Amino acid sequence: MTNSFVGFLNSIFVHLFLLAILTLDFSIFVPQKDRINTIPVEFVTFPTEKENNSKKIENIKNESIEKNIQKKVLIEELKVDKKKQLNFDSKRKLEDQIAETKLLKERREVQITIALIQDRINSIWKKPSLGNKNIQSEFVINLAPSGEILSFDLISSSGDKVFDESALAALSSISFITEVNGLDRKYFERNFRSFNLVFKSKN
Amino acid sequence: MKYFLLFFIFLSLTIEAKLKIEISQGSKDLPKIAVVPFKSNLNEGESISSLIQDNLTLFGEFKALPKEEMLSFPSSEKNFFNRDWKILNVDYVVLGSLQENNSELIRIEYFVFNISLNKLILRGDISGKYSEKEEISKVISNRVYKSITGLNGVFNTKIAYILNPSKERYKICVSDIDGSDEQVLFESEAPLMSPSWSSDLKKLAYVSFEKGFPEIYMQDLFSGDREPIKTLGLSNSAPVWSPDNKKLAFVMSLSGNPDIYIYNLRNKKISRHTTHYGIDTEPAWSPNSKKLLFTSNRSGSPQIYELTISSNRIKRVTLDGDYNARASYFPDGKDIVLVHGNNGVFHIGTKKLKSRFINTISKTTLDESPTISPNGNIIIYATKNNTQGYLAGLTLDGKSKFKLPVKLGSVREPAWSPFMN
Repeated sequence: MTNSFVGFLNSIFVHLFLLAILTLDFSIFVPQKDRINTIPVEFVTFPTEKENNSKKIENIKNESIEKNIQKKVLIEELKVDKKKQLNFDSKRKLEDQIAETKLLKERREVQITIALIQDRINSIWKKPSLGNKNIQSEFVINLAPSGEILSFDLISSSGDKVFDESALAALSSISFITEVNGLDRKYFERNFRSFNLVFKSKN
Repeated sequence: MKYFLLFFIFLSLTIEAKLKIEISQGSKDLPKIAVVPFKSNLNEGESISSLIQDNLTLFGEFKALPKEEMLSFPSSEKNFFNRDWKILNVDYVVLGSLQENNSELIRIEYFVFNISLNKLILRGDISGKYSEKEEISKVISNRVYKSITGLNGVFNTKIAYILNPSKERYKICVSDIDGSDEQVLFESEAPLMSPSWSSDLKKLAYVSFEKGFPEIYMQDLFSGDREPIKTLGLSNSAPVWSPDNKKLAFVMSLSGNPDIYIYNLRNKKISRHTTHYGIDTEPAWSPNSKKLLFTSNRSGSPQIYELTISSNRIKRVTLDGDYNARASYFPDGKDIVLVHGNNGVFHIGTKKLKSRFINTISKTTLDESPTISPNGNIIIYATKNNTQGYLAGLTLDGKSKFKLPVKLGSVREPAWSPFMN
């Protein structure tokens, strides 16, 4: 149920994202000062044939000089912009990389802690003989940063009293999950402050 | 627009955010059980509690705490202290007392405690004759087992098997599941095969070669009366009693090709249910008596098929592996147990009828026919040690393996009885 709901939301998100690509001006995500200045477009109208040739030449000369100046200014402006852009790009890349490595590190640490917790609980949980029953019960566990179990609650029963009680017995036989001790506090808060433990009768 | 988008990102993240840790293996240690010697004024209490302990540890599902290691010997709720047992890492404690009303009649009161939950999980009493102490301790063991595991105990069930004490000597025997009280039903110089229990536990069907060809007999366990099923075929085998006790499925070959037939016990009529030119054999009834599993080589290799009896519709059940045979249903009718082979390696496995995957439990050799306990938790099979056949078993979670007491002679084809009602 949860999975299909998440899938549904994700599909909405993907569609909105595609729509956003087509319609949004992504400069909203760029800080004001770093935005590229837009170049105004001018339509140049040529003088009619009735006008004087000399005037024409003069005009053209003037215009070309002006244009040249404008061009130079523009090119310089563009150069500056490009530089800025480049600086900005590399900075972002670096930030992304840092974020990614941070995330990877967190994920790794969390995975290790999960495995340690699984090992620990597996070692104390005396799974009852169940025949071929395929059931599971889910608990929510609240931890203190020291690893102390503040509370645990059965949130979804397996329907089998003996099975639920075996999990309860395992949880009540420990008062600390010391496996979270070495974790960075941030990681702890994000992942282990409150988490769900699912006891399954079958792999 | 921006916020709308962010809202959805946030929403989808928060739903997935909560960490979920799955625990499915559990400890490798067996639950530790302490059966305290029962208190009695005539010193007979201990014999009952030791019988209960033997029963509970018969299939290796529990580890018993030796009497010498016990710190106290409580006999009722009043003098029971949880900490005495918690120190010893005991999971369950069984205690009780026995009162003799007169020399014959006894009354036993018993208690079961769950130590880690510090909770009394069972209190019961039973009265009976002292001479029936084995039966009484089996009933108590069943109740204790049920209070601990939630499953019905099988300590008062029986097992039928073929005993082969010497060459050209065959016996069909019935004994209690712990191997005691063995009873020989029939003896012959010709091979005997495939015992099957009627669901009321009054009769046994089996195949006998006494007339030179395989013939199915039904024998009453109490009177010993035998009755053959009269068929046209020359080769009859693998009789299986339906759980509703109305029919007997068996294999017969009329023209050299074995097919599945059903014998109606009421009107004594035989109906044919498979017609394929492949070999169809090893029928096994579903718990509701509406379907049959059987093994057939119609696809080229032995595979399991399911037959719906009312419509004769046949569905292939196993798809993986080049050998799948000897299937039977679990008591819930949703899963099956079978011998699964692939590239010459054989396993006892279980399979959900609705999924493709076969879950292998234990490596075996080919000549084993598994029989499943009526509570669906234990499998017993015949195996060989050099030339001597004996019965071994395992629990479904694979945690414990055990051997049943050795008999004088090779043991083959175990058949676990249904529950006694």
